[in-house]
Amino acid sequence: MTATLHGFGISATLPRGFEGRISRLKPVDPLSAAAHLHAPAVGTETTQPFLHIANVPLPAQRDTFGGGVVEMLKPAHVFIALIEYGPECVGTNLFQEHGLPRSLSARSFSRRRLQRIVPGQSGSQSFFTDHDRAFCLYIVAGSHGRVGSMVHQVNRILRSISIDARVPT
Amino acid sequence: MVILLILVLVILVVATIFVSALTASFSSLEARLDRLETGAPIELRRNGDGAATAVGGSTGRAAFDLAGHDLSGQPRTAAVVNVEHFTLLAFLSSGCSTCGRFWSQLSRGEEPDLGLDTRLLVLAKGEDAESMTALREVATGVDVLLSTEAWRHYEVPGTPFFILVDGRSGTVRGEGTAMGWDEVRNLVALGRGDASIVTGVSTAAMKPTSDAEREAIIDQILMDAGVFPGDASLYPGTTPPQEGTP
Repeated sequence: MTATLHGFGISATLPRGFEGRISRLKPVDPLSAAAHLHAPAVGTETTQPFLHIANVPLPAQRDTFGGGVVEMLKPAHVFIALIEYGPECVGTNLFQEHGLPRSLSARSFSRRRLQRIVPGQSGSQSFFTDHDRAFCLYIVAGSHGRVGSMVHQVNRILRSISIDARVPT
Repeated sequence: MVILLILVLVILVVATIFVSALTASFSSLEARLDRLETGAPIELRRNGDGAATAVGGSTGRAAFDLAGHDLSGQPRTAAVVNVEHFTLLAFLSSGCSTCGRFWSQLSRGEEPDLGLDTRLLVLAKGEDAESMTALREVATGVDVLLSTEAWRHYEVPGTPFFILVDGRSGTVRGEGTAMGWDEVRNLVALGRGDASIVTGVSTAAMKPTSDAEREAIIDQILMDAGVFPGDASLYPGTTPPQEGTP
C-alpha cells in the first residue's frame, strides 16, 4: 500500500518504506501587537511550504534543508526536499528552469552539492519554476557510492509529485 | 494436659497461617478480577500464528502505513512497513483519564526507552472524531499523527492502546493496553523477545552468537509464560537484584 500526501498545493505518492511531511514554518512577527499600531507598515514574515520525503523517520523538528534528518541517513537512505520560495523569486535567473525535474541521473549528484557536508553523502540541487511557483529540489543520498542504484527510486517519487497553482496564504 | 495445650496452640497457629495465606491469595485473585472487569489491565499478546486476541484483531496480521495530519493540520505520513525498525503505535485520546499520564510525560519530553531500533509513534483520531482544542491542551509539544483511518485499520478497541509493528515483516507483533510505560515496555519486550528493554542490560555484545541466541530463546520462553526480568520466581530463596546493580 502506498501513502499519498497532499497539502499547500503539493501532492506526492510515496512508495513503501518512505514517509513524508508537508510543513510551513510559523511566521516570525518582529513586532508585538501594540507595536504594530504604531508601525502599521511593518508586516509579518510570509513563509512558504516545504515537502520532505525520506526512508527514515521524519521528526517534527527539522530544518528546511534536512537538518535533524540527514545526520541519521545510512548508505541505503535518501532524503528529498522540495522547498518553495517567495513569489518575488519567480522569473529570476536562479529559478529560470521550468518544471520539476523528473528524471535525474547519477551525475546530478555530487559530494559538493550538499548544503551541509556530511562525509560519504552526496547531494543534488535544482532550482526551477512550476505553475508560477519558485522551488528548490534538494536531495541527499546516504552514500555517494550508491547513488546509481537509488536514483531510479528517487525518479519514481519525483514523477509522483504534482504542483498546483499557488495557494493563497 | 500441658502437652495437649501445646498441641492445640500449635494447631491454632498453623490454622491461622493457613487462613491468612488463603485470604491473601483470594484478595490477589479478587484484585485481578477487578482489573479485568474495569478493562484497565495490560493485555500482552505476542506474535502467534494469527491467533485472535481478546482485544482486537490478531497478532501476526498485516500492518499498514499511516497517513494523516499533525496538530497544526499539516499533512504527514509515517512508514511502518518495509522499514528496518520496529514501531510502537501509541493510540491515545484527549478524553481518557489513563491517557493523561502518557500525555503529560510525553509533553515533558519524557519518552520511554524502548530500545535503539523501536520508534514511538503517537496517534490520535482526526478532527472528525476528536476535540482538537482538548487535544492541543494535553498534547502540547508532542509529535502526534492524527488519523481516524489508522484506528479503523488497526481495529483499536479503546484507549490507551499500543501496537508493536515489525517493520521488516510488516506484521503486528504485539498489542494491548497499559497503565504506564513500564507495562508498555513489557509489551515491546514480549513482542520483540528482547528482555534487555526491560532490564536495560544487553549482554549480546559480550557473548558468542550461540550463547546470545540461546539466551534470547530462553528469555522468550520465560516471557511467554509471564515471567519477566526481576520476577521473584527466578530467584528462589534470594532477593531479586535491583535495576542497575551488576
